[in-house]
Amino acid sequence: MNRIDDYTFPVIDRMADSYFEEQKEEEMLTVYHFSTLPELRHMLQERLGGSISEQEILEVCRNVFRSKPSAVQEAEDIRREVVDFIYEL
Amino acid sequence: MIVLGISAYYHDSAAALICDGEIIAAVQEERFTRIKQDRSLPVHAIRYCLEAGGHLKGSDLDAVVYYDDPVLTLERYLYNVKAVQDDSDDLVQLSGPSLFGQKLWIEKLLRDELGMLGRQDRLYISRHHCSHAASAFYPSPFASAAILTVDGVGEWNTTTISHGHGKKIDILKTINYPHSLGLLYSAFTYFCGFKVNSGDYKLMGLAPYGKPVYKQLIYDHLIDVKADGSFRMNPEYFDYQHGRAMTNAKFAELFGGRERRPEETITLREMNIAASAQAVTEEILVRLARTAARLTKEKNLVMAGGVALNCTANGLLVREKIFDHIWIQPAAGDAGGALGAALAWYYAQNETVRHTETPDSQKGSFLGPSYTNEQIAAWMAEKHIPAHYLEDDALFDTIAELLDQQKVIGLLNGRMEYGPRALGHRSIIGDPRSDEMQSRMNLRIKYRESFRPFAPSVLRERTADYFDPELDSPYMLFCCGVRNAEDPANLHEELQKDPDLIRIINRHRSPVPAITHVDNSARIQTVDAQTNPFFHRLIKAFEKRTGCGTVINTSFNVRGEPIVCTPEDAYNCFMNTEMDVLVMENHILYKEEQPKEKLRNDTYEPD
Repeated sequence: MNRIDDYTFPVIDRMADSYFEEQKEEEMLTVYHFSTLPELRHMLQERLGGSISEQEILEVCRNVFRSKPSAVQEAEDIRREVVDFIYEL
Repeated sequence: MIVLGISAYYHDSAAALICDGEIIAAVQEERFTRIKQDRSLPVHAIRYCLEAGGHLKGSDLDAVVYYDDPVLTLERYLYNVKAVQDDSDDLVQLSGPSLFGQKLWIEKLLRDELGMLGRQDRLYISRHHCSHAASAFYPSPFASAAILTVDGVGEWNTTTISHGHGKKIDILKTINYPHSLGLLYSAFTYFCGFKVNSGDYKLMGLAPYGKPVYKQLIYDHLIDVKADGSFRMNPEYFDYQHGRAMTNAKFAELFGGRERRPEETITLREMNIAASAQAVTEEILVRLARTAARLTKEKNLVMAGGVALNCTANGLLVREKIFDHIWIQPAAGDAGGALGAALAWYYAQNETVRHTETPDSQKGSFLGPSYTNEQIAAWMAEKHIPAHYLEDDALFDTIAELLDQQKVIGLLNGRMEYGPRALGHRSIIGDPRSDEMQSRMNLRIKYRESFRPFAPSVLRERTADYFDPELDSPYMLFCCGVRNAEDPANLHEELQKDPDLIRIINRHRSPVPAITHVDNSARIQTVDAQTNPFFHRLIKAFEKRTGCGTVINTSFNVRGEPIVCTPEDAYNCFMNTEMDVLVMENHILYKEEQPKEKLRNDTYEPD
């Protein structure tokens, strides 16, 4: 996986023999446990930390929600809570 | 050990309950809410499963398992936004609220509903394609098998090849977003004017009218497929990665003009596009299956994911003889993920040896609610609905006689089916020998004009008399040829002169014309006495009377609605259509005896 800063979709390579990717050795079953914002923050860092830094999450999410605030204006409380959290990061 | 599996927030939400590995209940939320492919939290389905398990509470469960990892989905979403950053507004609008408002909070939302998430009060997550793979492998009759999952996208994966052996599943190869056979097929579904997801089967049904004249164009511009079946798509022609329509202007230019709009006439172009998309899909699936066989050295194949509902391609996989046996999860789409998630957790956590069953452990997919004769009688008495009670022998003889008299009959019997197909428990049936029955059932019952034939349900022991190759298809997931049908060689010349699909489909082309497609194929359900005794006895009675061992079987619903669940749903559908007879368990209702004031005149959204 590329770092998010460099990420572009993989493209067609007519010379390649195969496009299959090997499945990484990862747990296929995971325990998921967060119900509060600090827990979500911790989980995001833990789960995505290896490939996306917290700063990168912040950058993308800021762009996302600033570019289209209407996407969240209609949201319910919990959604606003998440957005607040993202801005806090 | 009791495990509850949940799928939600994509399409076709569902819940499933297993106890010590046995499937106790599984049902889609749409059947309760009456919202087709309902994607909301499946609270009704959960309540039904807990009830079916013996009035369980959240604290009685050993585990609650969700079928998709929202954090990985978030990761894909963020990468997607980054990849199309200057043009991500629509993607944000489309996916942001659901992802940030619901999917990431699935644990909280489920805890609010259940009170407690099992004994440990925590939510377990199964990867999306792991859920699909588990739903295909564990209920199958095979101790070991190659597993192929193909869908639109789940987290990053769009295709996986795995090896199932004993109680273990090893995922060997993946293809990842944005390269997706499911999304490619959906792009053509959209471009031909059908609804994405729910209309994919229409594209498959349209394909036999066309010629695959665009196949090479697709390979040259849209997708590069390797010998092993792996592929990448050219995103320049698609818009789904921007959260907009499936295809863009460049795609339209490639196919000679803009997409067909739903209300517009289907032209030869759409027929040829459908044939081409189907041909490409089949070629890729065959290559993937060969690779799966090579990697796993297995003689058995199991499949799940939305693309596994493509019964034309499934029929081809049988004819290719890559595997000796193929088993496909009947709830192959996201609904089946609920069952797969529960089974994946059970076999990952439990030391118990997995035992297989013959013909499988899916129980005919009759895993939903049922209603006793007493419950139905009480409901009808309350509503002042006239009906006749018949014992079994008299009931089957009466149904056979009515079918022979060209009556159209609705059936509500036993537990409702899990998955998109009606298999005789929530079905509308008719006489397949009739030239007019297809048109009549379409116009007067389903309220549509359809270029697709109905599906046949055939006695397992009579399959070879009607269809070739003879195969087991208890879940209506394989197409095969109709015997003694006329040569369709002139079809395309006819269509050049007059592309009226309805005229062509309504023509007599076999001894069972109502279920024969224009290429002489049929999407068959084989009915055996062991897993589907009610329906087997019914068809047997029809065979005894007429010599015909097959009936038309279409889902008990009108267009735009989910399949009926309760006696009330069934009665409303009966009274809102020109269906002649309704059979609910041993109660038989005749339209002409029903109070006129109960006749309904609902309207339906376009199909």
